[in-house]
Amino acid sequence: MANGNPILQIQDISLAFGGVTALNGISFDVAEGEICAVIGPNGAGKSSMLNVINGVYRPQQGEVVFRGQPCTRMRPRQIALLGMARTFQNIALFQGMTVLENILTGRSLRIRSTWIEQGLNIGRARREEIENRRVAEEVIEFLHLENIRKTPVGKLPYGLQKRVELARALVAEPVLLLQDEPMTGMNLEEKKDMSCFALEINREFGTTIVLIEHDMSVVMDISDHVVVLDYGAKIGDGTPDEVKNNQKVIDAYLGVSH
Amino acid sequence: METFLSLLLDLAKSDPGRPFIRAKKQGVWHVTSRLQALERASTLAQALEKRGVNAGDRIGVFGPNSDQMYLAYLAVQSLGAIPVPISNNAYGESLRMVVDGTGMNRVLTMGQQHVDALLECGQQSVRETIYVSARGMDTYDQPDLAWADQVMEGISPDIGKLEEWANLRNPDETAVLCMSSGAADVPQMIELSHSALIKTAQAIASRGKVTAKDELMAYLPLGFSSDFLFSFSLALASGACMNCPESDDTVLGNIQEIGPTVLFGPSYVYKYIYAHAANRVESETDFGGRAFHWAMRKVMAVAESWAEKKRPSLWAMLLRFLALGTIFKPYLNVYGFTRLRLALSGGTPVPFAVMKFFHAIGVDLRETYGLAEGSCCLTIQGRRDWVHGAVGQSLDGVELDLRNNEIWFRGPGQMKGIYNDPETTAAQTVDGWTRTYDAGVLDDAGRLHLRGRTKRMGEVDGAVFSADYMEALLKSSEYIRQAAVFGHGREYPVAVIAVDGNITRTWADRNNLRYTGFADLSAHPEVKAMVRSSLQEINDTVQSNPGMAAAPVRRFALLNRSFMASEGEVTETRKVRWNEFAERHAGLLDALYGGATEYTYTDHADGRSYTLLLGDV
Repeated sequence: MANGNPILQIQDISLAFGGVTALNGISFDVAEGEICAVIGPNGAGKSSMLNVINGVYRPQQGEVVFRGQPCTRMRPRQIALLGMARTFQNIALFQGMTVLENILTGRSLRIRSTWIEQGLNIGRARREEIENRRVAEEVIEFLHLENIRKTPVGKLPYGLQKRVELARALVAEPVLLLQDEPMTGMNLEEKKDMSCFALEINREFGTTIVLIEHDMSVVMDISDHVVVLDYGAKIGDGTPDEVKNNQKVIDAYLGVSH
Repeated sequence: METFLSLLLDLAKSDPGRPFIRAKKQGVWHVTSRLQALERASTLAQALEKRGVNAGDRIGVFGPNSDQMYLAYLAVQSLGAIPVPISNNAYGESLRMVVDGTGMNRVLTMGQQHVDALLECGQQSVRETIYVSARGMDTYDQPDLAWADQVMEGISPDIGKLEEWANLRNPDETAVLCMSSGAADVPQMIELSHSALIKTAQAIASRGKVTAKDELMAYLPLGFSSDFLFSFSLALASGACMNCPESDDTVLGNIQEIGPTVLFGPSYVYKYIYAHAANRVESETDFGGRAFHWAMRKVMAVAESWAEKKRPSLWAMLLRFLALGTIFKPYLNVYGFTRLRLALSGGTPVPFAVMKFFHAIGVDLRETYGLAEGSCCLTIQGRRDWVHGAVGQSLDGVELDLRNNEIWFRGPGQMKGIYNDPETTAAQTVDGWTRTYDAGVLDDAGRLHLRGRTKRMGEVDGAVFSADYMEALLKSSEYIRQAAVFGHGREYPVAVIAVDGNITRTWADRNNLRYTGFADLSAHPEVKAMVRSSLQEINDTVQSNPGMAAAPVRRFALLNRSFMASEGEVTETRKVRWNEFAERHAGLLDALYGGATEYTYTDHADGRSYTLLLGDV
């Protein structure tokens, strides 16, 4: 699917929390339509990288360019409006709300009607409600969530909650999807499902995906492009095969004294 | 004389706008009216004709219960071709068997999942696969795949054409090829004609008073002959509306939303609901529990009178009325059974207690007996005509004959034959009578009492022995979920039992037993004692009733889990596959006959080691 045009450019990003340098001069490009995996040992700065991309953290140095627009100074909401959605490492759903309600929250960015229209359920509000439900139902079908549509999220097992979170990100109809460890804590079958979903989303909707993952077999299987971080620095960048044979990467994973 | 197509044409003439199929998609129920059904079937039929489908071709219809699949039956039939329904989740060997066995050259299917299953089983005879949903199909470049939307492009509905075709059709033509588990070990494809199915469905409709106002649930896998009869044929014969669930996992919720008035289901569905209610009576001690208990006693008291053919007192009827209104109507609403008027059960017999319970709460539950060779229904129970172990009187036009205890039948629902197998057909149908390989007894009122498959009957321990019959009796205990009985060629019958997890757990909690799970619970001496006393009761009934002479079960074992279809122990419809079962548990059976009280083995299902309890009854 990848066509080579960068949709996301990370330019020389540095991020520090007080004296701790989380990211140190990182640059890489993500091409439109590809699945890009960011890997690295614990504490390498992967989640920080994701948080910089979608505007949660503001880096001290460098620039993130998304669809041609510099967005380091933007707020997460503005970046989301440009077409970026994400899922979280720790599930961040509304536990007391149903699956469907949680998924619909992902459409909130698209709502244009005023609260008065919504209160009276007239005009735009009505049309939007129908449209939002339609998109939500498409995603529900896509991710096979039909049988738990009305189940409160808190009652669901972990693997399904992760899937609901993915559904919520998808209803925003993103161009770029960020996934922070979508497969942690899953069993083999759930991982397989999740990998298939990632591939299908990528193929069906042409969505570019940037994901953080620890499971190497998954990463090597599904990604077009792998970026390796270690101690806040980029130590590898290329196709899965290139990265696999990169001595620095092997050292980082096998643990060589620094 | 009618065919399915002419029935739909007539239905559409009398009331074109009336719903014919309702199907839930993306959270919304979509209605296809009779007229729309005709239009859509005509489009597909024209497309198929253009692609060279001829009369007599076998066309696979492979997918979920949905408007597309049911309309595909009609389109295929209108050309004189024969639809072969294939269950949604078929794959590998079971799929290959159907495709091979019928030599189908086209398959109409739903989407990627099905196309993958077909490609994997790599059948040469299939020249074209037409799929409805294009999702995920863009990477397939096989030339023999076609998208339904493209196939039907530029073709407009033409009901006149359907009428022309309807005139060409003959009611004695094959309407469908249905799989039968049959008496042989290899499933066979049974040829059923339009008239056989329609007459059977009409007979059911007239016995059960099924009309156009009724709502049916079409939820059994397409490959089951019971789905073809109790969904498609019954809907067309009565004008009722079919309701298709959104997916296999949402059936219960969808039944609740629709509130069907007529429902056909395997007996375990009803047993499950009864067990759930019985469990509530046992488990709750608060006000709600006591109220439920009270209501249960009141409605069951009336059912007892009915069972004894006595008229319940006015006072008892009043109390039942109260119990129904306050407790059971809301309770039934949980399952979507508030409008349920007629519940039909097939497969294994419904335990008597379950039967009484459903009538007590106002649901007319009736047994049916049938097999694919007889259009899936030969007998149906009369209203409140309960006799222990009976499955009802024969349908209009069906004649039953007992030869050497085996049931033979003839009538309008008889099969045309076994597809492509004149030898077996000739062996099974002699002088116009078809054999069932089931044993039974007819009583004075013409009710059929089943005794199980003849293959599993014989003389053991000096008495008549029917493994099926014993299994059915054992399963009538609410503590026993599944049972496999063996005894052929042995000194006495033995049973391998899986307890009902929910009910036994409630029982264990009340008796302060400690356990960590199902396996642990099954290995508890007190549970063993409890099952043993249930077995003694059952043996007493067997021996005290001269009409049901049968050798009692002498020894039993409690299995560490339920019987599993994936382990080959039971079929998808939960019938015990006794050969496979005996093979898999050969060591256990030897231990049973060896008189052991414990047996340790490694369970193939999870690779762990378990110690089972064995005991004398």
